[in-house]
Order: sequence, then C-alpha cells, then structure tokens
Amino acid sequence: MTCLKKVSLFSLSIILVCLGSCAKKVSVKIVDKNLYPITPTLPQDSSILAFYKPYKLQIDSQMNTVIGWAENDIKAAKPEGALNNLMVDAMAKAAAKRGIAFDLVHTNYKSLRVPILKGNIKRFKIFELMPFENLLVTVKMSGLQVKELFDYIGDQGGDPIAGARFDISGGKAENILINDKPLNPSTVYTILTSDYVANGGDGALMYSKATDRKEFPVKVREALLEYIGEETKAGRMVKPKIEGRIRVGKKQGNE
Amino acid sequence: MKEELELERSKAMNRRTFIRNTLTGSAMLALSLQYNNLYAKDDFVKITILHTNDVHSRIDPFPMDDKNYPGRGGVAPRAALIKKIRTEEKNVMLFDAGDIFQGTPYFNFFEGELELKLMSLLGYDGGTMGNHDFDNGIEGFEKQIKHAKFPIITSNYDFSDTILAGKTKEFEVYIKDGIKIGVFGLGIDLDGLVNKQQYGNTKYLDPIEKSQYWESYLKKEEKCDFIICLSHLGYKYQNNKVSDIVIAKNTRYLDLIIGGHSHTFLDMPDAVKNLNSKSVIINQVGFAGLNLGRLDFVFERNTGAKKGYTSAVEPVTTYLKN
Repeated sequence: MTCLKKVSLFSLSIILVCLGSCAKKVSVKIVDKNLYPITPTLPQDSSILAFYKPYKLQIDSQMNTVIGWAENDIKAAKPEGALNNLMVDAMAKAAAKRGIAFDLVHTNYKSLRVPILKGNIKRFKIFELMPFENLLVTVKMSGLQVKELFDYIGDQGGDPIAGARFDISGGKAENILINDKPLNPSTVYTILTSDYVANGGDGALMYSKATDRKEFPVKVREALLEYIGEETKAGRMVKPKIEGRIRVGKKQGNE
Repeated sequence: MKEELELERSKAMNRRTFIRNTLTGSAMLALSLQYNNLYAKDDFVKITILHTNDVHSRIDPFPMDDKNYPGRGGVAPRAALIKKIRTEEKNVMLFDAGDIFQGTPYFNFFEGELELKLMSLLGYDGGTMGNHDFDNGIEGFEKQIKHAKFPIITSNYDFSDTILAGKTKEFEVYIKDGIKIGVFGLGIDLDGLVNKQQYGNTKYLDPIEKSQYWESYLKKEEKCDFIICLSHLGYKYQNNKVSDIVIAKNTRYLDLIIGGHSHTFLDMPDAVKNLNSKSVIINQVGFAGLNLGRLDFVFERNTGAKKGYTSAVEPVTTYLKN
C-alpha cells in the first residue's frame, strides 16, 4: 500500500516543462521536488553556530529573563481577546503614567503577532509579540470620525480598543460609549494609538483626516514590558479580562 | 571511452523504460541508487534550486516551549542541510523571496546585519525585498545591504529617487554548466502596508507589466534557458489583488515563481497555465525558516536530437511532508 501511495505521489510530481520549440538549444525535462522540514534532529553547522555566537550571547543574556507570569494563555481574538486588551491597556497605562492625555485607545489586530502562553513570560516573548519599533501617538478626531473609525473596526470584525465600547451590527458600530458616555458627534476625542496605525496602516485610512498628531518617544513594546513588570512587582499574575468592549450583535436586514 | 558512455546511456534509457513500464517501489529504489549516473552525461544538466521565504530574522530555532513549532527552523541546521546537498549535487542555487528582516530580537538589536551576513555565508545566490525589509526605512536597508554578498533583485520598485538607487538589481543572469538562468523580482504594493515614512520615494510599479517586460527581455535579449521570479506578492487572494497565481497566468516565458509574503505552506508546488498554456511552477515553503524548498530541473541540450527522452521520468527519492 505504501508503495502504491509513493507511486501516485511520484507520478504527480513529474512536471514536464518544454521551453519553446525544437529550435531551442535546451529543454527542461524533469522537475523533482523536496520539502525539507528543518527539525531539531537535523545536524547543525558548527561554523555557523560559532559565527553567530557572539550575537546570540548578547541577545540571550537579556531575552531569557522571566519578567512575569501568565495565569492562562493570553490570546488574540475577534471581536475581543485577552491579548487585544493587554496590548491597549499597556499602552493606556504607559501613556497615563507619562501624563499623555487621551480618551480612548485603538491599535490594529494584526499587530498581535504571537500569543503569550500560561506560565513564565520571558522578555523574548514580548519581542516576538511586538517586534516593531512603533511609538505611541495621539491624534484628535471628531465624534463623527470616531464613528467612522469604529465602523471600520466593526467591518474588520474587531480591533483592540480601550476606553470605549460598542456593538457590531451588520458590520457597523452601534451603541458606542466613550468612557461610559454615549459618543457625541460634535465632541473632539483624543485617540491613543501607534504611529503605524496613525499613518493609516492596515487600511485605517480615516486616520489621515485626524488632527493634532503628537508622537511620543515611548515604544509600544516598552509599554508592554512596563505593564508586565509592574504586575510582577505588585505580586500579580498577568490576566487580562475579556469584558465586552466589542460585542457582535445580530445582523440587520438582508445583506 | 565514447563506447562506455554510450553503454551507460543505453543502460540509463533501459532503466527509464523499465521504470515507466513498471513503476514499482523496488524499481524506484534501484533507480534512485543510479540516479546521478543518468545526468553524468554532457547532454544533461541538473540544476538544484533551493529556496526560503519570510525567514523573519529566525536565526535560532523556535524555542522548545513554542506551541506550534518547538525546536523547528534555525539557520545552523539549514546551513548543514544546504552543505550536504551541495556535496551531492553539482549545480545548486539558493534563493530567498523576501521578508528577511523582523520578527526576533536579532533584528531589533543588530538591524538585519546578522541575517544578511549569515545568508552570505550560506551562499545565497539572490534575494528579493519583502515589505518588512522596509521596517527600518530605506535608510535601514541601505545601511545593511553591504553585508549581502548576493544581489537583491527587485524589478517593480523604482528606487531611483532614494538612497537605495543603484544598489539593487532589476534582474540577474546566472550561468550554470552552460545553462542560462534569468531571475527577476517582484515586491508587494507598500501603500497601506508600510508607512510612507519608511518607504519614502520608492515607486511601486505594476508587477504584471514588469513581469512581462523582464521575462521577454530575459528570454529574447539574454537568451535565457530558464526564467525565475522571486516574488513577495503572496500566493493567491480571494479578491483581484495581484498574486503569484495572477502573475503565472499573465506571462509567457516565466518558468518558476519562488513565492513569499502569504506564509503559505505548499506541500507540493503548484502548476498554473500561462498565456501560452504552458505550466508555470509556483512554490512557497511557509515562513520562519521552518522548511527548505528544493526543486530539481534537468535540462537537455540539443532537443531536436533527443525527442525520445521527453517522457522519461525520474523518481522523487525523498518527499518529506511538512
């Protein structure tokens, strides 16, 4: 049986490519293909290991430090996930600590690159989660523009937010509350985000209409490291909650 | 001497016929033992193309406590594997399809220097630029490009008004055992994906137009026998967004697309019909250096005299699934 399977794989794998007519000098006859998984059982090239050892030592001395503990797996999810909330809450805390004024926080879902698993949190994990050198930024938007932003977030199925709540209904944002008060279309709100998002990253184009942009020399990663460090110092595990910041309502009408 | 060669050749042909007629596991085994003999003749040139994509600064293997890929990947085992293949095959080429940078502290600390130095030590023949290779700006890439002892090939980014002007290549031609291989590179639209501040005055040019231009040039002007595109466009999309599939369908001379960006794990390369109804092979091997892709092409010279060989088949000696 195994043989038969091999044979079918084998025949499938033959692709004949002919490079033009007989007048051509050469033709390609056969394609074989292999996929080599790089696994821990493969031999290692010792000269390569030796070459990058000085770099590795420099990284490892800092990256293997345990900076905190996760009570449970902290994962990204739509419309809302524990990792989503950890990210924006860390940004909020870092900003508040530095006297940066804002009403709400928003960042992009795609920036949540890896989950934090239950147990020890090493510094390395935060670099994996937030490898980018993004900085904290504030911009101002009218209530109307915030509605437009939240509609965009709703259309995406959810993004990390703090200081605001809303329901997604038919891909749009409804029942929007900013710090527990209904969104006022004529009020000007200050949004804390990353420079990547403020630049319209991941299609958040409404940021191009925002005003009064201020960039702060605080990296988003720094905010995360600080947040976890402070929880640890206070003797607490890291356990961000899912608390209904974004809820998916029933879809309306015929779509 | 000539007679010996003829004898070898006829044995090889017999073996092939045997394989074609029987195709049993044991016959395949028997053939695989003689595999290299078949291509020891001047008439045949075997070229082994190895490739990676979206390695994302994964220099060490994933940590053993990683949920998805514990202990997988890493540049040292990849280097050992490539070295082994180089001892077994005469004509090995090694390419990368972009997003070399970003993803581990190695990039945050050393800004891509180590990634490019290691790729040079591994003997990469060429690479293209992914969106994350702009993460430290064009200036950041320009600062490190000197560490790449291989060309960065990109055909649809116009860098003429940037600090990178003249430092990347629009195409490259390689000659292996008399076989001419042309390579061009395609990058993804940076607008909305990378901050304007980072890509500056880079102009994104239509990848379909550029593919058609460069494949024609490589075919007709450079008289290449084989044309490869290193692409960071992504394998395919639900919408009309340009992808490797779209490029394959809209070209005539391109033979192989080594893809990236979408982190697609293709167990088997895809084959898509081009404008001339000929197959273009597309391959992509995931991300983070979890896999090394390998494609072996056997070229036959003087096609006219060797028509009888066209249906010959050879075994895949090992086909390891991901």
